[in-house]
Amino acid sequence: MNRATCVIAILVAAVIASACRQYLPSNRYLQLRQPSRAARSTADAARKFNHDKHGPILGTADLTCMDCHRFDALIETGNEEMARELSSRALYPGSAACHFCHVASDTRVAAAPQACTTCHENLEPLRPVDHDVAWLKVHSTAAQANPERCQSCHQQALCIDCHSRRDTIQTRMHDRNFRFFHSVQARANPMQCGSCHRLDFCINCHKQGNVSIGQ
Amino acid sequence: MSTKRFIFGVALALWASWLCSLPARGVDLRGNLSLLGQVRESDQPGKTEAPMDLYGNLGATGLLGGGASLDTYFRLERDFGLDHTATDFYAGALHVPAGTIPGLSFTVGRQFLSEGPRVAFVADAAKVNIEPGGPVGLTLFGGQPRYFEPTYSSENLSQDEQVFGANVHTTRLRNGRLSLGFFEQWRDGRALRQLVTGAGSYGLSRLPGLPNLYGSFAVDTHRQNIDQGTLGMDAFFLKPGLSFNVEGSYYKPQDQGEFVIADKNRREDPIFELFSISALMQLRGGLRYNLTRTVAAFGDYSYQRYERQRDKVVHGHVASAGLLWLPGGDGLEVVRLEYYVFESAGGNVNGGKFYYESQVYNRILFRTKLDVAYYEKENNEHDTGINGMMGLGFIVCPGLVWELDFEGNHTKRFSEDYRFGFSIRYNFDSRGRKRPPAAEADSHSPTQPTSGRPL
Repeated sequence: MNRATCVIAILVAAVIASACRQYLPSNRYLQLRQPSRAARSTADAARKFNHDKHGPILGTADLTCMDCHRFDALIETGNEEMARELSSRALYPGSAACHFCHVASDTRVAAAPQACTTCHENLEPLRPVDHDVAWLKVHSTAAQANPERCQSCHQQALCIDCHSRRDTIQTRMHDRNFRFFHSVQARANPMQCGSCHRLDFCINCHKQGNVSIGQ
Repeated sequence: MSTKRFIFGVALALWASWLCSLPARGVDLRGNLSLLGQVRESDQPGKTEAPMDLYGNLGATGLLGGGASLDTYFRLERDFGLDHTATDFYAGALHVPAGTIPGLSFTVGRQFLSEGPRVAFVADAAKVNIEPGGPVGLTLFGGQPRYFEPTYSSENLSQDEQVFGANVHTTRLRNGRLSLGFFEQWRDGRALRQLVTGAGSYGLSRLPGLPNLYGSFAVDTHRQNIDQGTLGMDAFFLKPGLSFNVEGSYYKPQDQGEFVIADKNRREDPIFELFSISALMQLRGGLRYNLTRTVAAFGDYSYQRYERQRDKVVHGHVASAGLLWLPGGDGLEVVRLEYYVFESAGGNVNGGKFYYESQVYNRILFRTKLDVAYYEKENNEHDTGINGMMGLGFIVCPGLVWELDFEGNHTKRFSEDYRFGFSIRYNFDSRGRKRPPAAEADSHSPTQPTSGRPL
């Protein structure tokens, strides 16, 4: 059996395994993972509000408890624990009250941090719709116009990983084959290379013979 | 850097991670450490390369009695085969957000600056954002760019550069932002670019079907030249599940096509000038269409037009199309199939990629990739490049992942290029969460499902 057959056999096995995932074996180490429930919700931000920190700021704006909370819910139950739970839910003002001051709008308070990570832990449900199609190719304009928006969810390491980090072990931006035909793509779109590379990077290999398998 | 110093660096990073796991009053410490290793044949006959890279992204939040944060990112490399070492310090910046000092936020230290048109910099810089509460804010920034690509001998381009600029931007525009400013770059003691810049994005509505518009421009005031302009839009429709993006760009760095600049240090984009003597026009578009709940089709195409010699126009095409299948619909498994093509004056490439990733087990991760590309170049060279990779990971405990991988490459020139590798990744924070918050968004790590996004 030659190498190509081995590779194809492995790929076919992987596809078949994925199609039959409910029949996969399970034991102590092979417990099937349950999809994260938190991925469908942003509820992790609900209990982050700190009244002590916000009190003085809201006080200067003449806001009262009634401006955020509603107190007209009538809870009738003999179960004290349930009453406490229902009460806290009824008092929860929802995300609109937080976003009133924190999100860019006419009502935004300048001192209020805009970073999503201020309150939210799981950011996957907050992923903007414009991140879906060709985002890696067109994000430069958005990053130039509003870098704070990027930083509200991402650390700088994400930008550096693609733009500045040099890595010979794993491939990030270009697949391993790219070194053989990069001249074709460079001529197809010559304005792309300069986004990350400098002229020295080309000269190192082409002029000085420092071509390495690993690079 | 000697082997002892490399081991010392690794030990120091591990000690920092242990320190971060201790509770600290009011300060949250977090980190993301990756130790990558690979053994491969060197292009120097009879030699083996064995690089080992430690990447550390360590940070702290809640500093200075408020929301200030410290972010660091570094790399230590030691090649045990070639006895080669390298150290990169990518970031080390203190960020004080607006909440700590009302109306003022700033970042000082080595940081990533994306304010420049088309080009982003890692720079030793300071950036101040002043938003006193009105409808507009002011951003000021300046610093010295740092570059990390190796220069084995003397530099061809001077790395003595400075960038600085400012912009006025909207602060209360819902669903968008507009900014107008200037950007200046100096190299080797002379002004390279003096640009008036503008950038903006605006979503007409968050409702499906209504587009998000964006655009940018940069005009070199000194040379009376439009350096670049971009205008684009994207939109999505819930039914029939279609998202698309179209964009047009114009790019003409400096005095392109009018003068030959002998001094490389005065060239704005020297790589571009290797290929083009004129401005470049680009039209591109991409779409994604959900065929079923678990299968989506995607495509992307861009057309470029420029002159490589006077009246010799080059038409460049870059296209890709494929299918994305999420077998369970939950993102724990991803199957991605893609066909891509490049065509230009340099030749043409036709290739296909297959990617599979599985995280259906709680503790086992598996991923495999195959890339086959046939290329024909203008120098009559043609070949088929094959790259295959397979990795098996094990989640030792929440946040700690070990992975072994194998990679094989085949071409006429490198008929037997096999690589064995490993990685150890550890995400932690002092609050005891499994992963730090930003890492959820930056889910390159195999501990989080990718939801089918390209890697």
